[in-house]
Amino acid sequence: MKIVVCVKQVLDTRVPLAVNGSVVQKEPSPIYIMNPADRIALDKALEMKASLAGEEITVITAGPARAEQVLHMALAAGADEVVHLKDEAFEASDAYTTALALSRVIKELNYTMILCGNRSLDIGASQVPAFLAESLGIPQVTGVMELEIMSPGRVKLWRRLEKGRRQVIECPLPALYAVDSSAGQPRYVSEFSLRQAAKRRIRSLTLADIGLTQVDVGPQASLIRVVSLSPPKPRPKKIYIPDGSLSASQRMSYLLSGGLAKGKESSLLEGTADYLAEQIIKYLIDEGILPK
Amino acid sequence: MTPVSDIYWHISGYAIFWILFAIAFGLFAQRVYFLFRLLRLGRREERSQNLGHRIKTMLVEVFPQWCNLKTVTRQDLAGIGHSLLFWGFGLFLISYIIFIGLGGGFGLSSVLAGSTFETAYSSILDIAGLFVCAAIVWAAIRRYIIRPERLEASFEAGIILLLVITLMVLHFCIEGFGYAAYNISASYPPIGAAFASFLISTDISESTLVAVYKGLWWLHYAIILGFLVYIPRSKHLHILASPFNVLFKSLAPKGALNLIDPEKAETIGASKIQDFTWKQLLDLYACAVCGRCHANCPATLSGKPLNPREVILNLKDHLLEVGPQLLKGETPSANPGTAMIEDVLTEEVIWNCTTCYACQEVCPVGIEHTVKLIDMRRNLVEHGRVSPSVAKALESVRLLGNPWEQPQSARLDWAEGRKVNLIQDREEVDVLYWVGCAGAYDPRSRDISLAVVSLLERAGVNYALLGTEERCCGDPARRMGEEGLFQMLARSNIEVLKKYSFNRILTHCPHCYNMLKNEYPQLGAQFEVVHHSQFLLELIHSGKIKLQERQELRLTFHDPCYLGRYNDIYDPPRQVLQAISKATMIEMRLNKTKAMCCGAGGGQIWIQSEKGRRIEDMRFEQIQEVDAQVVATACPYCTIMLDAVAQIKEPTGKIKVMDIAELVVRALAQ
Repeated sequence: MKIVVCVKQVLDTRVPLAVNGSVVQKEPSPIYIMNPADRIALDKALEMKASLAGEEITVITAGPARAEQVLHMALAAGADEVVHLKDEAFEASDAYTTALALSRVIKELNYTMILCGNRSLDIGASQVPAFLAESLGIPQVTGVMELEIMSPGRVKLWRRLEKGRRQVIECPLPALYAVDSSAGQPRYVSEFSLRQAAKRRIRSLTLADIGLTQVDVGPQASLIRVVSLSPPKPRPKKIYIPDGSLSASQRMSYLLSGGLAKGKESSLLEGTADYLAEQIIKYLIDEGILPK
Repeated sequence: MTPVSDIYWHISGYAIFWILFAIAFGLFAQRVYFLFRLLRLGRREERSQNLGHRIKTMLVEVFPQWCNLKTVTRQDLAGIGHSLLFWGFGLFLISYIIFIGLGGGFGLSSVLAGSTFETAYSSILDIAGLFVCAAIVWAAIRRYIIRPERLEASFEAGIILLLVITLMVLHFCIEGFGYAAYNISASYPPIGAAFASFLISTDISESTLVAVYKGLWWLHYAIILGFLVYIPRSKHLHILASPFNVLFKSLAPKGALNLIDPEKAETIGASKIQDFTWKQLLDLYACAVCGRCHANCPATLSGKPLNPREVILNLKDHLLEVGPQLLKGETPSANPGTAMIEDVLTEEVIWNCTTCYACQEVCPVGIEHTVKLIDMRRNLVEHGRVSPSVAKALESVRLLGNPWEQPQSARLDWAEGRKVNLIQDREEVDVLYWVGCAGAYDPRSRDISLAVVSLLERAGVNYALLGTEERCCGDPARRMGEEGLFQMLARSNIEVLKKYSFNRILTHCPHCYNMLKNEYPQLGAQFEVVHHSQFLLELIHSGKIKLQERQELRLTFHDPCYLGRYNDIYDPPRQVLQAISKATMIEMRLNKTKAMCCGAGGGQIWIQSEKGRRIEDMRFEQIQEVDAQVVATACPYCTIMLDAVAQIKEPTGKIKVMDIAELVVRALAQ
């Protein structure tokens, strides 16, 4: 069984980004990462590979030359094969054209399952998985939190709904599953394995290889045009409140981020375990979460 | 004459002697050879360089028992008992070779009997025997009545105490019965002779005396042989192994980790017992189960699953369990329940260590606990088996150059609105001030950087900063087992540092200090590094910094692990404090080599071990025990940890947590 994982290289948003008209102003040395949701999708594929024999993982990205970095990351994490659909024009492609190009490559790959991130950190349109599934003519499931192969050709999936609810569904293969970024924590990839992977050759394809030209993918072909970008509204001022119930590292991260947001009313209870349990139950009943 | 020269049931005593000896020695040698083969399962490690120095160290540590006596200064008197036992029993061991081996087995007793040498040696033995008995009684009282935290009354310990005291009693009896049986009257050896004259004064027949003498002699001999067989099969293996462990102990700076070459290493770190080096395995044999390590371990004391003594003992049991299969070339990892990580030691235990070095500092036999734990972390990291918080910190270090998830471009934000010297603008500087990630990003630690810079300026030091060219020194990565990341950071930092011309590096972070000074040389970079406690003292002594008249300030000092135990810098920060306050320094119960960790080191600040109590809370309670207005420290981690607790436990500000640099700034003359 072959799993294809589609990944995207995005800017690390921990580094402050400035907006200039309709483009993001880059730092002199911008830091790129694998889109967090794509990384969780890759981890899910690796988990399946670890528990089932005969799995093979192919990771694919469509992007400029620098996107090679995320493929090295994928190899270091344990992907069997990587494909780089390389063209500078992808930098300004919309979801539709990107999905079109990806589908041309994936069609040739004899896949059984496609995993994508549900949403990208930069544009966040959540459209590539849908366009891709459509152009391949296979079903898609979005917001996947967990998946389990029940029998060959059949997968059970847990979808993320609002307020912590889950929808459990079954879906036949081949299919495309878009994994939610909260479906796991990224598995750490060590520097030694990254260095090892950086030495491996990456299979790269040009637009010509898949029968497309720059006209098919660049801004000209895109159905969506970015008119303007604006920085987010400033967040409410946070105040650091010392809290003895937090660990030092939690306190540290609050100190660093300026503290807990002072929006929601919170109260600190102190006392014996029994007293605290009682108060929590009382709160839950008062809030209507538990029946009276 | 010894009873060996007699005939027993038509069998020569010599035959009995040598047959018994052959059996016992055979069993001893078989076990020792087995243990030696197990050691050879370990990886290679060069530990024989500088042999002359090593032998000297061993002679100084082992025979005069400095290894044990040094802990006496830490209010642990057991070392005296051990020394008495070691010296006293050592004399007996020599006597066994001379009087039983040469005298009995080789029939030379006629030469020895009655000689001045024999009388003198026996007299010494009588005295030594008393000391040994006293030590044994003391040991028994400690184990069975006082029961200090670090000791457990084990069955094995009981056996050995019983065996040794039996040998001592037998020694006196044999002397007494022997002298009485052959009617030798003498005044030396004092106890044997006195006992003999007592026996002669009773009306026990001579034949009875002779029979009892012979019986006791053979019993004595049998017990000594039993001892020989028992030692390599028990925890008392340390008697054989620990002198070698001291001989081969690391000559590298304290706590330094070995550099992994990914091209040559078979596996990264240790996931199986044979992934450790032979010296790490020898450590397991050397453990005497004294428990000093766990009595000083902040993780154990705070109720976390890590117990350094159990780590060593569990690994030893594991080695003995899977060793025979490994020697046959089988892979025991296929058996369920024998995985070193998980079944023998849990991941949690491995991640509990703060690398504070308290265990290694106090271990009398030079066991390297932290090295093993970090070696296992290295393997876990290589397989991505780290907690999300560790992954986040490590990834932040790789991508952003610091563990605080802050951009490199913000590295100088702490100095916003103030003029600082940058090395990029200067031809040559005397002091390169290495700020460190905490000093650059953490709001509390930024105050320390500001204090240091204002002191440098006040003293007119030709200094400069690396600014945004500085990256994490690699300490958190290396201590969390991410060796590759450490090497990447260290190489890039070394490359940057080599571009500029400076005389020495100044840092206020003991972790950076230790890395730059002690571990960067592994990558071929030697820098002169000075910690701000030493540097500030220099400035004060040379008069470059002028202080106000000393005030009455009740100060105590919290020793940072990487400054104190790792680098033996205990006095400079205290001397700085004495230049500020005329009140006598107050010392906490646990200070200097015994100082308890703040709970942040070894990446613990990101690891988040949630079991048990918080180490920083416990340390703060120790601070509260002494009547101090300010707890001074000299490490940003310690400041962060203790200050966070102070805000909660002393919200009125009765106890302030301050770096020594901040205190010096406050005390500057106007």
